[in-house]
Amino acid sequence: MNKNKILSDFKNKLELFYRNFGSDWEIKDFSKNDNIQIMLRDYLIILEKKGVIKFLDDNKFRIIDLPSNHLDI
Amino acid sequence: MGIADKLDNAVLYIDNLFKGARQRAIAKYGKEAEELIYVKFNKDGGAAAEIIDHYGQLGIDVLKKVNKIDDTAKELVKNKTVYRAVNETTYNFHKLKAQGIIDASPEQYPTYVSLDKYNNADIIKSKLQLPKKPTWVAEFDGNQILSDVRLPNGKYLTAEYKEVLCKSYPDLGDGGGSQFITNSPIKIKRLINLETGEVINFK
Repeated sequence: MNKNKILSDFKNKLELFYRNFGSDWEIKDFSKNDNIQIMLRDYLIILEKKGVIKFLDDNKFRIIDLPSNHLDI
Repeated sequence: MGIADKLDNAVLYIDNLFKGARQRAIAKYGKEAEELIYVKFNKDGGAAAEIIDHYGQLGIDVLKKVNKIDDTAKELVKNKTVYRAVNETTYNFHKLKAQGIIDASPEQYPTYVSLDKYNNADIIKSKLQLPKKPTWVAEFDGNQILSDVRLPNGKYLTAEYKEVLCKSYPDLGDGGGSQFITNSPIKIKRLINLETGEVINFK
């Protein structure tokens, strides 16, 4: 699976999870694969700058806005 | 592994997911169930089997009435109380608690609901294979969502199969709870705290 597809699926899952299950997550909740976790962490850094999430520590983060409110991510 | 092998494996995987429901449905309802599962709803036979297994005679009646598996959702939810498990960090929880409203959602991000009533947070988490423990259950009239209620595809909408009963994530719990999705706005009747028993009623 290519990187764009992985990140697109991750973004969709963030919104689905926030709407249905809650705001606080760990990167490992979304992938057990070390390489993908690194990719997701890098993407979360971008999402934090956009105000979609905030990191609680190196692995935990809180969704603070719906990704669909941000057309530029 | 070739594409054909992968497809065979996928079919086998999906088949195994539904195997128990097929056996129980046919054991209990015989030829009537067998025809619904293997003839009328062939491609969605697994979902049909789960509907019979979970809802019994109502499931048989609904499957006989409709022609598409998704149309069973409307018939099952009609005139029923529907439940939604949430916690305080779920999006817009404060609006739900203050006003008893769940806003409409975009089509690709539906609201998950269930017809099964459970009073214990651990049981709800296990039956619905939720990644987080719920702290509240919202109750509402199912007739509000008849225009778009449907059966979700498994694995958070990414699988090929319809998931009538939660089962895609056995590491999250036993599964077996019913699930539906909707994008409709919902007005809640009652919100019940699973830890304290507090009940908030809405008019």
